[in-house]
Amino acid sequence: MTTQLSAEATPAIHTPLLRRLPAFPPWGAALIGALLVAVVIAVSNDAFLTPRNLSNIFAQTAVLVILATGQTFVMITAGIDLSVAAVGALSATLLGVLTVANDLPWSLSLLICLLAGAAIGVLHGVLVGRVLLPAFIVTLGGLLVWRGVALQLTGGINTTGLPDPIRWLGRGLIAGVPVPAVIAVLVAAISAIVIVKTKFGVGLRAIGGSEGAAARAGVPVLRYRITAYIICSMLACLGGIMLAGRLDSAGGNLAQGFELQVIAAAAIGGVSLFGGTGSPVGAFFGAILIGLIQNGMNLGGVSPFIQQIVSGAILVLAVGVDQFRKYLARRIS
Amino acid sequence: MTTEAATPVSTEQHPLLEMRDVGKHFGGVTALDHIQLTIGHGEVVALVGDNGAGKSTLSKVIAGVLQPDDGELLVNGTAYRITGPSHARNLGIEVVYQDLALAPNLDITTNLFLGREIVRRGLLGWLNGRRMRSEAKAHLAALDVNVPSLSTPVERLSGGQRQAIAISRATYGGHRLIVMDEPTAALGVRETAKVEELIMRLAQRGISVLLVSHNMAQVKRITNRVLVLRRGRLVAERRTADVTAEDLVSLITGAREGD
Repeated sequence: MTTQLSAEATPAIHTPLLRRLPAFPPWGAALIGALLVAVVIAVSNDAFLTPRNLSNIFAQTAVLVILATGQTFVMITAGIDLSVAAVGALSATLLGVLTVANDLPWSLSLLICLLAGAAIGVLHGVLVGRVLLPAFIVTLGGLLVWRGVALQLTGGINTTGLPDPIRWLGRGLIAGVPVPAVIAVLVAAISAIVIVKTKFGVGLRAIGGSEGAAARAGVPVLRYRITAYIICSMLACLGGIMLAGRLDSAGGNLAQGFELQVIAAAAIGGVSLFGGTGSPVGAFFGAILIGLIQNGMNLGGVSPFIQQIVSGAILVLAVGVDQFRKYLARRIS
Repeated sequence: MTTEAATPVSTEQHPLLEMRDVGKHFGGVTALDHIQLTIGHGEVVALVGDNGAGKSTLSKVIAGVLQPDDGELLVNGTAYRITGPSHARNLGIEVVYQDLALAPNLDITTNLFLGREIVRRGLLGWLNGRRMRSEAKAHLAALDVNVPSLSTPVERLSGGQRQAIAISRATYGGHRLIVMDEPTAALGVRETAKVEELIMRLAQRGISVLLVSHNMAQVKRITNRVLVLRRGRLVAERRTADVTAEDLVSLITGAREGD
């Protein structure tokens, strides 16, 4: 309360490093973490830096990046989408049914699956934004419902023998680079630009910061919010289909429990669960960090039980660091 | 609603805002009773009254949030039925709310332009960041509002700075009448002085301010005229110079009869 309008921020903390920490992008921690983990694994394990392993990491992490990017759009509006893995499984299952069982062309089937994803997004968005149900409940219900629909579609049986172009989406190469990695980088980059550089992106961030202020300023809150859920569901469909393509297996059990990794990737990357802050760049680095840690532990023969403990601890640590950063920012200003 | 209103000849010929016999009822309760008032160009008018006197109903009618049941409202001599906040905004009336004025996580420039961003032609909502920054800089400089950096998130500003940004936002884009509801209620002494200076600068630039305030010393310091509301009726209208703070308090409480 001692500051005046023209005064510069009164320093409350004098350590230069601590003063600079808040200016650090929120995804800085995930980037540094990913680099550190990469160095540690590279030093400790010769199998890490082989082209085959790197390409494997890219292919595995790509789907996580795509789903976490979609999640970012929703989380920025202070929402959450727990249904992404289920929606991905449903669209992959539907694609299998359309192409393999019904002999529809792969392109038309892909289009139908993405449109189904858009419709699911509209439903989630309307229930959250218009009916005013909590996003957590709507998408938790969605998680159960969409996976149930996917299992019901084929009676729980997986479809294999997916069309070549679909398998290419999951495991193809462009000039030696895995196709899923190319798609993931494009999705994350375009999304980051949309969030930072467009009226829509500003509107989403405003909704997450203060829905009331956004509405009073004339931001079309409902339309933007529904659009965020549409983007999230459509990217979930794309990711689910790519994963099915990689495994050449599409069924209702695809990506069980994957939604938690998706949310963890976004949160580790500095996308706030309370809305308003975060970027697809953060979700990208968060996903890479998770992918690297899993790869490193797999290479090192760490048991899946320990892997689960480590993943959980890292999530809490990353969000803790972010809270500390915000606390410093408040102290300084 | 009459439609025989005169067309505005010149903006200065008519008062900026005029209310004739405006009434507003909620069920059986009369919130506003035959309100007659005018606000001139560049005038700072205080609206005072006890809680429940109708101050916020009156400001909401002016802001287009509520529609009056009786009477008419003229802007620059033309009668309008203001249908909503965006209509009021188009007529040059903007409100600065106590809270919910700004998105705390966004920076100053983004907040100034929120909902009316400058976008590049032909591209889908692609922001013209450079132009918004330079316009924000020019606008804040014209109002003599100093802030550390335009890229500072609003949540990192002091209360006074935040209020200055909210007021600057309201005055951007040629708004003529700014309704302010207790703009300094949450501020310290020095910050209050800064915001009061800003309000006076707005008046010098021909912008009118309707100031809802409980602070009689403030009313005395910065307003030209005072309107006193009591139980939905405008009981007194005084030139600020002609009344003392004590007079105002007696008019508000009813210890002294109005006009």
